[in-house]
Amino acid sequence: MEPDIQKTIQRKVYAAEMRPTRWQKEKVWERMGMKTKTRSRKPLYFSIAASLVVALLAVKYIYLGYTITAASQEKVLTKETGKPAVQSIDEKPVVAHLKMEPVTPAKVNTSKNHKAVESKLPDASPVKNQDSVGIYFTEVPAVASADSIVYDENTQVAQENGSQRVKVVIGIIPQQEQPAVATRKEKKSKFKFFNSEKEKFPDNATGESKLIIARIN
Amino acid sequence: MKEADLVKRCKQNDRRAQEQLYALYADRLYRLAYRYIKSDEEAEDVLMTAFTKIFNGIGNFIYQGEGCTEGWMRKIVVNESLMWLRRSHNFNLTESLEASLPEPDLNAFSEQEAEDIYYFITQLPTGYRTVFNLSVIEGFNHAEIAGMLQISENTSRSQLFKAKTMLKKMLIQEGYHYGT
Repeated sequence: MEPDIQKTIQRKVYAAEMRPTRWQKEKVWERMGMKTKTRSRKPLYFSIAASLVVALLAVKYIYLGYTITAASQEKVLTKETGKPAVQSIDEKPVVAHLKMEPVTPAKVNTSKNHKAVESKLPDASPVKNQDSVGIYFTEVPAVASADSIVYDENTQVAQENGSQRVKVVIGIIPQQEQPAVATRKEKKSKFKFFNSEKEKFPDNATGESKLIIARIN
Repeated sequence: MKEADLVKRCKQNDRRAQEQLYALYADRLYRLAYRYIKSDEEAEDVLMTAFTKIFNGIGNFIYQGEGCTEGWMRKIVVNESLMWLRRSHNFNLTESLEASLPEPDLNAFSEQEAEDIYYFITQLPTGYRTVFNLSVIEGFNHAEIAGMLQISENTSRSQLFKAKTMLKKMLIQEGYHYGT
């Protein structure tokens, strides 16, 4: 076919197609509107933002490690030592610096006042400052005053080189006060799902306490 | 609104611009689809699918000047029409062509009115019509047509030859006298 003839036919066909024809133009548009309704991009943005947050958190935990909080540190210590990081009241507190010092068990003393106790101690040299000493009783007697304090073999007094003495017992911490060792505060929630151990066994229920903390001057 | 602005707004998913684009080109593209498919309902379906693809793909379309948008849309409609035809028609069912036959002269055919030419083309059988449209109107060569319709080049040539012969016969039947 000659190119001119082909071009003529092309031009005439295009011209014929330019003329309006009767067909369901509006219906097709409506049907197409149902099919190609522009979707909102908001859900897309939200999903992108959410995935970014998750990715950032993952990166933080993988590369930067955990954020050290009281709870996480407690978990780590518990894993490492096999013991709970926060000691319960029932357990003996671990006082590291006392372990390092030579300990001489004191004799069983019975005194009517604490001055008499002081005079019976091995050395009257100046008192060395210590933070605190844990004193344990197998049975806690009802203590009315300082005169009735009884020292038994379980009582431990720290000394250094036999030249320094430790002055023990100024007073007794009443049971209502919380010991300095257990400082973890329980979380208070509006909704109580479980009864706490404290509620089950309040301190005064048994009427006995094994630990007395005494300050050393 | 200029074509460039219309395309720009369509790229931004502007529903009004899309409607304007549809109103501007839908008629001619419908007639293009009808020229291939020769069925009102099917042509409408094909056009709907084609416009959906146009609106989805206009983001990747690069505007290069007046008229290029229509050319790009025509290609999409032709492709959609061919896809529909491939599903419903087997183009390989055609007899081989005798190479010695002279090519029919379409000089008289080209002198017809535009609407008559359009009408005669739509009266051709599907295989003839498709190859005639692709070769004479769209300007593809036989290798390209063979690739599009998944047929051999000989089949494409055969179909075109028969299409031209049939058009000539149609003109004679309409009272047009060839030669002396």
